[in-house]
Amino acid sequence: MRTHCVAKWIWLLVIGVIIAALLSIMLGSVSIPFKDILSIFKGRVDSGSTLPATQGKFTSILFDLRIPRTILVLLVGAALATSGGAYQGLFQNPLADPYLIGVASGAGLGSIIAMTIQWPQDILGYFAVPISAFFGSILAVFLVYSLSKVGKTIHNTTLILAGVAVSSLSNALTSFLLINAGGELRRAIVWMMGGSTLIGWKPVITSTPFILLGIGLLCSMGYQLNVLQFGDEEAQQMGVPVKKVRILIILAASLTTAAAVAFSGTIAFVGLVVPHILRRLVGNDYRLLLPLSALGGAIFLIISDILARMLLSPQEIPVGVITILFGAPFFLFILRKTKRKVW
Amino acid sequence: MLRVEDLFVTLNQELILEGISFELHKGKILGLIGPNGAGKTTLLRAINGSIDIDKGKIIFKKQDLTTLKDHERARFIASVPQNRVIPAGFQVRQIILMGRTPYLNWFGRTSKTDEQIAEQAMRRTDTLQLADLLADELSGGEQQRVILARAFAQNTPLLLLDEPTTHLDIRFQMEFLELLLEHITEEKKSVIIAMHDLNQAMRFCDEVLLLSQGKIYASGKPETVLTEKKLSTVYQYPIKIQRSTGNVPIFIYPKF
Repeated sequence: MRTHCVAKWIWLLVIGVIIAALLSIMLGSVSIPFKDILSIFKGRVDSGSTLPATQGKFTSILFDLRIPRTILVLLVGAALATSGGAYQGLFQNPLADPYLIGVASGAGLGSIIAMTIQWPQDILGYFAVPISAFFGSILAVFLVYSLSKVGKTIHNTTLILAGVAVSSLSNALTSFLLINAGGELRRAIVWMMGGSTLIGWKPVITSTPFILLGIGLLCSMGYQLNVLQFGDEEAQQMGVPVKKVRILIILAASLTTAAAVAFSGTIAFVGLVVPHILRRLVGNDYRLLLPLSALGGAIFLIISDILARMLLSPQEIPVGVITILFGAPFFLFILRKTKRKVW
Repeated sequence: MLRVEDLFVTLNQELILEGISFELHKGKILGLIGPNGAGKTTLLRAINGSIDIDKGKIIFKKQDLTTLKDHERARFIASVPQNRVIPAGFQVRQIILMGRTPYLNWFGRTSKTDEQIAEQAMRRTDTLQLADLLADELSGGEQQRVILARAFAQNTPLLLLDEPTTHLDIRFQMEFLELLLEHITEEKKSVIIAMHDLNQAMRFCDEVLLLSQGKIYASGKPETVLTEKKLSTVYQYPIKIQRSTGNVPIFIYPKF
């Protein structure tokens, strides 16, 4: 019965991702009708045929802008939601989200450091940003973790407080670096607001391996996360190597967050909102919750990105603004709920 | 047979257990009694590997349990903790299946055998009819039976329980202890149970260990350990025992 239920949810969300991705490549300041997309793809396959002039323009919009952007947004949404869900399980705190616990700000600081150093714009230069972001996020999460750990348990309030403090510190350092930065300033500021500063295939190619590896690792740890919900001591008594599992989850979730943040900037609340909606629908089994969060996060961010492009078209709103417009009210709702019932 | 030899434990620079030694035979129930802070919980946590020991040995079937990996130890010892934790959003069945963790792979894939063992544990603890409900929404007594079922599903020769009946009403207390007794006599398990209720200790335990300030004050059959003199000394409060015919104490109570 349960396997049937799992398959149902996965199919539902996979179809959702496909529909959202299709809408995302169709819609924008220039809309491309679905039949043109079909014929362009057909044209690509039998490359001998000539295309009408409008379709030539569509082709370059499609392949140079829309498709890479959609893939990047899809991956980033999946990454943020999966790592958000994993952090919530790891810290046993419903409010843990890459942004709230400082991981994303740490990654942001790392990225800005790499950006201001101004590596040459080749592939190695592109890797410098995510790697630096990864170290930033690891540093932040270990700082928050060690601050909020009392004995063998994580103190929930301290976790949020430490997260806020580490975030603020990283953000302040980021601003400080930006003031001293030269030509990269605009790119960095748009990046901070969660706009996609990077277009084309390079960011997609660079971030894909990190994000897929991170999501894969996190999804493989679903069962261990389930047992961890009993607390460290009981999980250990049930045979879980708690320390090893915790460190693995932190590394995988930070890798995933860092890869997402390095290329898309500050996109808050995806990691909070998506896992929580899914928890209400399918329960807290992390073996199911994490893969579904990946799919749900992809849908959520693709739709947010479409809105970001469409609402004030041709002007583009940074997608981070849209996710906060959705996310902040939801966050308040969660706060109210958790006041009544312990998560 | 479990043999604990000369166990010393320090927590936060404070010596909590000093030279604890005892033996527990197969199929027997050992009660840990003593005032708050005597070291009952610490002793259980030392045996199940939750805390490191300074010195001493914990031998079970010729193996030193302190040297085992977590999943290996979890095949010997299952624990029912003092403070019940029931994570939200899990069905009773899922929680009880988690007792199988030491036998499962990294992904937690369960086999038919695992499911049968879990189901048997549910039948034993009268939780089968709750299987599809959310465990965090059950009553305290039901939740405690779910945790007991999880420990049964772990299928270990040793069972450690830390004041398992403290938060239950009198009926659930007795039901819980009767379920436990039935299961362990059938399966020939050895049990260590920390208890506050001296009457229950008298009634359910084969042997008791009276702890006082980290040391064993007295040990042996309940009738020989639970005496007015010993209890009054250790608890620092006058304690009376009402005896019925046959010299078996049946009611232990503080003197007013």
